[in-house]
Amino acid sequence: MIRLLIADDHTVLRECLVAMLRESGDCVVVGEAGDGISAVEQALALQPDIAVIDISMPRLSGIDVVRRLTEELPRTKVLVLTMHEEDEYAVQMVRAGASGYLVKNTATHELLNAIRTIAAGGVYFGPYATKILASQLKHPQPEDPYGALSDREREVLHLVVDGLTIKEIASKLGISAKAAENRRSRVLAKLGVRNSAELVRYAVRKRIVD
Amino acid sequence: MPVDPPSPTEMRAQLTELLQAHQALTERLRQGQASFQRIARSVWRVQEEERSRFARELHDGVGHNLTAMLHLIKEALAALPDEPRCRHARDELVHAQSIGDATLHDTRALSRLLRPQILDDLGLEPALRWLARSFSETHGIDTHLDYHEPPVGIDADRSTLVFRLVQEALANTAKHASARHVAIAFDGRGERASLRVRDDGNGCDVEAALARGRHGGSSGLGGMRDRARLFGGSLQFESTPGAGFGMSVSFPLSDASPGASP
Repeated sequence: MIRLLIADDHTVLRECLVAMLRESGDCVVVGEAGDGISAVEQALALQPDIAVIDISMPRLSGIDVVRRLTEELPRTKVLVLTMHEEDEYAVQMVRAGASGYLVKNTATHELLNAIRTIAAGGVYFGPYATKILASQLKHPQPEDPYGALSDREREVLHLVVDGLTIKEIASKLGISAKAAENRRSRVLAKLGVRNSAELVRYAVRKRIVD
Repeated sequence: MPVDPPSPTEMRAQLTELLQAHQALTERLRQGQASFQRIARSVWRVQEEERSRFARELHDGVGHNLTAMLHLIKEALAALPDEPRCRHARDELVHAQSIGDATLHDTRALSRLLRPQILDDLGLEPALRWLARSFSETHGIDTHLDYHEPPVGIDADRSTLVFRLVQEALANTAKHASARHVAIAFDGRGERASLRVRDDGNGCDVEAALARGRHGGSSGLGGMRDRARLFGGSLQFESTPGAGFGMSVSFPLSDASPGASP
């Protein structure tokens, strides 16, 4: 079962989400929070697999919640679920440490997809955010370690940023899961990052350098 | 009887008195200006805060309710059996859903029009990036932003100032210019921050436009200059008909900084 914390100050919407997740079969909502401070407190107490966090919350904004959870609970992944459809929010949230970003009026099955992908160690960004993250990847800085990656490694990097799991990457490239995992490890090592979420953050960061 | 001319001592005393009176007057004038600037800024700040509150209420309050409603409609649709007797109900729900979608879209647009939350949530650079990108998408005008963050940061009032000036300049470009490119450059690394917005459109007669503003006509340009002055800034327009339009502003990043005007 995937253990979830849902933080959203809008009660009606939060209840909708909880009801929907209850029917999913593989998710269990272990905690709910109506503001940022209580989201952090509950996350620390419950240590969920995934914290689903709204951006605009009273007492502590979503971006600060994401930062604190990333620092204090590296094993709890964060999925941002928000009313803001502007790409710039997604970029900032990835910088803060989020593993996923979705706009609230996306379909239910997409939310479940996101939760399952993140629980399996992947990252998930809606079509908007994926587009901008990918476009930032296309303009690397020359002195960047990105230049040290082989074409095959770059391919894996892009697929990870697109939200694919190792299994999906393997089948897409027609290689074994072990080979895909090895390639991903080489990418992580060359870029000096620890996991997929950091990989995406790295991708975003490069644009700041210019 | 002729009056004796004042003695040099008396003249010196009178001169000193006059000088003191002049200094006092200058000081009162300076204080008056400073207090006018303070009042004008706080009026402006209150207006922006009001806009921010309404924008947030629309986006987070009304927007969330609409989103919840749309979720409920989706669930109701999914629960309806696929049978002919449910067809009418299904059609009505689909119709309700499309009204809800359109209303959500309008609510978001209205909220952004009042004051984009991105400015308060993420700060000036992401807000300008969003503005440039959405302007380019809406009007098909290639828009480039070059941004250098001030090492000391930029406060909320000055962020609003820059954002509103760029917004106004872009609105002018869209309205009058038939431009193909716009370049926005903000540089906060020097003693005074500088902002330049330049398009390659039709341009205009700046003096004529400013004069229209003074006579109660469209006062976009004059209003921009007034706003910059509230922060000790100076603003220039550069344009000749047929050769593009440019605006450059420079202002101190804090009231106490050496670049601040009295």
